[in-house]
Amino acid sequence: MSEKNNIDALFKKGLENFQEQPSENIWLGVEKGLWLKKMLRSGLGLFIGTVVITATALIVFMLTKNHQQTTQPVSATPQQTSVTQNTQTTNNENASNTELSVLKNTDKSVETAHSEKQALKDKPSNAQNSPESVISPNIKVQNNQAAITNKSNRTHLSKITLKDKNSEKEPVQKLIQDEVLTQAKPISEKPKSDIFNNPKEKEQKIVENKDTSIPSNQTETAQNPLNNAQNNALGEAVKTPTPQIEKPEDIIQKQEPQTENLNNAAETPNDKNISVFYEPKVIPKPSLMLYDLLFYVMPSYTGKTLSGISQEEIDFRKNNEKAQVFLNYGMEFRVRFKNISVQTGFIQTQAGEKNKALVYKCVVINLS
Amino acid sequence: MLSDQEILNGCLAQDKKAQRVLYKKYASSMFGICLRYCKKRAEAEDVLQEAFIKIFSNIKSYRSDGSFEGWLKRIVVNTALNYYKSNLKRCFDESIDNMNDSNMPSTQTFDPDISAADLMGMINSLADGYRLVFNMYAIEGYSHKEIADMLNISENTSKSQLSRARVILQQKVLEYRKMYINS
Repeated sequence: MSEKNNIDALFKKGLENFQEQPSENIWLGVEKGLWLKKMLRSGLGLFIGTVVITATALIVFMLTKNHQQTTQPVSATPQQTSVTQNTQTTNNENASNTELSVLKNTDKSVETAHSEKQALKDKPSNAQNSPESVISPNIKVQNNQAAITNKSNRTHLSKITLKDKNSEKEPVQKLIQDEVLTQAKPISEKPKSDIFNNPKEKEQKIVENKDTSIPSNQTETAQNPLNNAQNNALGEAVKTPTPQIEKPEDIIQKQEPQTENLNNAAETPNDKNISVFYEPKVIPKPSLMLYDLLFYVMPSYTGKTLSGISQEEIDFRKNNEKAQVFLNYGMEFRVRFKNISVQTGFIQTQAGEKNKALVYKCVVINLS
Repeated sequence: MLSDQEILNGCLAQDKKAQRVLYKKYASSMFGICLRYCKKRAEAEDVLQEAFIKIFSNIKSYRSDGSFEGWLKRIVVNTALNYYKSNLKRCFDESIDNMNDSNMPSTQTFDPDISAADLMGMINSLADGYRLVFNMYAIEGYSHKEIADMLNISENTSKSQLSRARVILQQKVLEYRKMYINS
């Protein structure tokens, strides 16, 4: 036991106060390590700050963008509604042309209708075989309106507009509408011979249509013409049984009115008001947000010290007799949206030979 | 000459001059500790540098209730132990023999005139595990429990390592004495 203590005591006595001078480089290493640690701490804080600022800027931008999108009027007027629908069903030009032709040819269509009526009367057999081949394009446009009116006789929208426009020519129009309706209807639903062979029935129908009172839901229909027209058109499409034998042309001609009916139905309440149909121009908006990543190197010159050396100067530089050029360098990230520009980044600056500093910069500029 | 308290206040204010003074005052003694724990001088210098960075970074955590030099020593020892921690497992994996007192050399009176450099040479000739435990127990004064906690080993391992270290050192001292007497 004493031997153990002896050897422990020997080493403790001999080495407890053992000292040896370390090399000078160790202190330089300690200074460097402390500086790095400081930079890491401050750098981490700056990095977090930069991330927070950038994230905030992005969030503000996104919110502003969303707000702009929500506040922009989407489709306030029926005209605009029809435009959007036209883009879905047919192209804008065709739709606008169709509507213009409806307006321009309202009177013409009536006149044409007379001649067509005569033609139908004269050649019922031809009409029986191919009734659509007789109808001119103008009438076809009118037919679309008529089809919607009579197909969806429940709405009577086209009747009202037609009354407003040409109250005197209504009976003739009704006749044409009924004829077109019959053509639009499937063969199985109504025999063509009823229309073309019995003109008396046509006249009776006219009277019936005249007498038919406007349904109570007319106001609703006027308020929501689009929905009703769509529902009716869709309802007809569902209700309409597929004919057993159909020519391809017939199928195409039957499908066309359905898409055009929607447009016409949407326009119906405001037909009187529409003078010129305009197509809104879509102007691409310039992007609101711009990003820049800037790198730069900036030289700085430190001249000779003319006066005596103060302690600050000693701290500032090693050799006051020497003029030197230092390089400052850095990186900045710039975000610009609307009139606000946010510029943030780090700059490594060297003030004198001894002092280096990593500077964080953040500038917000209102460009307006 | 600045007192410890003045140096400490300066270091708390991140004053470079105070830091430099503190380093100059304690660097040599702390380097002696590092040399005891490290086999090579370069390793000891690395440990010393890292220890002083820790000291200056964590100087706020020093409480004035204990000795400042003791606090510094503890940091240096811990840094040295961390330096070897990756290798410590392997150091202590060696089979632990039950060292009996019979293995110890016969009764000897050790010559106190052995120089510190020679003693340091003897310690450095020990394996890492023996050296660390012997330093901690015999010179620094840590208990086996403390050593076990610091090195993540059992107390028995610590005891056995110490016994082995003692035997080896005794043999080295005897060899040294024989050489000294013969010369």
